[in-house]
Amino acid sequence: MNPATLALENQYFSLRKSLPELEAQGATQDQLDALRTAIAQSRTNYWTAIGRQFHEDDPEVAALISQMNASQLALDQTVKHLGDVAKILNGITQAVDIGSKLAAKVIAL
Amino acid sequence: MTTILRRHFCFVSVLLLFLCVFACKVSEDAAAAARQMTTTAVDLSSHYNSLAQAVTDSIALNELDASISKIPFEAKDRRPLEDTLSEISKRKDAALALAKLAASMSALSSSTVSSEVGTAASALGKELVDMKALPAGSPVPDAVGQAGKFLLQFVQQHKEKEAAQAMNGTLAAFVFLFEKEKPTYDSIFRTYIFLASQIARDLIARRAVDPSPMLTPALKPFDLTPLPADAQLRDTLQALALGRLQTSAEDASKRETDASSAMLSALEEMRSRVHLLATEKPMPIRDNPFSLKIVESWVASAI
Repeated sequence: MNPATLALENQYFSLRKSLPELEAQGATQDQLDALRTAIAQSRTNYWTAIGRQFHEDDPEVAALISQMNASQLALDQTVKHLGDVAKILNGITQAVDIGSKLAAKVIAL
Repeated sequence: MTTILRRHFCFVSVLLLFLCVFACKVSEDAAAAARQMTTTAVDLSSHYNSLAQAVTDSIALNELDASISKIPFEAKDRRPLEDTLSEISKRKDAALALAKLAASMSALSSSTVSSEVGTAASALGKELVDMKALPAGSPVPDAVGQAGKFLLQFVQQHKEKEAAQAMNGTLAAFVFLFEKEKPTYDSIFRTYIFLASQIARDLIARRAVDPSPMLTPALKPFDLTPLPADAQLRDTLQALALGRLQTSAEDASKRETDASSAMLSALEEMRSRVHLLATEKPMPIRDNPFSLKIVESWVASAI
């Protein structure tokens, strides 16, 4: 599997799974809306990447994949340990921004 | 003199018999390859059809997700899914065109060639050239278009070896495409199953699912029917329902991965058999590639 597409798939799965967890944690309506927007963006990033190819040898793409995987790992740990919702959302926004940069690197076949 | 003539006659007879048997063998191989390739291409088309259905269902699931969990799904969000659906549909159409062309190879053993052969050949060339997935600047699309034209001429002239060579090139393009895109197909199906299971999980958590059909194994032998579950029964069965959901989702993803691997094996197997035909070697196996059974079983359960 193309590592960039796989990273975007993992991000979408992880964010979508975190919605009921943050609801249960008592996140405010504004915070949940921000998360829903981030989920929609990560889903669009994933589907944009599907069926297209990345310049996998591009060092910038490799760095973005590495950054995204690291931020995703940190985010998963924060959500699991039910930390501060605002901090989690900040991490989500950063991770999705990296995903959007990665998706923007796609080239049409 | 009579003995010499008799010997000569016997020699010519044996030679004619040998040529006849050889010609018949090659025709049988060509006919068998045509049948196998037709089945393989039809199954490839069915495989793409199931994948297209998964994308269509993914669109419906995202609409549900927007209603139930308020995750936005607007026109701009829908577009990349529809683009993917369009690309998969092109592959399905190309596989169907391959099936028609493969079926036309059986014309090698008949005295006339249907005009449908030419239509099938040019349709396949067009479908493959229309696809954007083959590498830019690659000779493959042109080669495939040419292969279609050559195939038509060779079938018309009853040239089995040349027809097989042309078909070999066409099959190579399909193997290349499927192998390159297989991880994408697996990811698309995995995402479809993920979203379906996530929505089902949310509904179970909201007590919006009636788990009473889960009682069927206990009640069916006695011809009993469960009543709709009350709140207490829903709570009791929630953990079991969520556990089964997880297992079923993992099984579904694995079956798709197995089916796409089996489809790739079948395409590669067909290519090697057609290569035998193209190099005038005997094709010992007359059955369809065995791995097609796995594909057919998945297609039957996936739709």
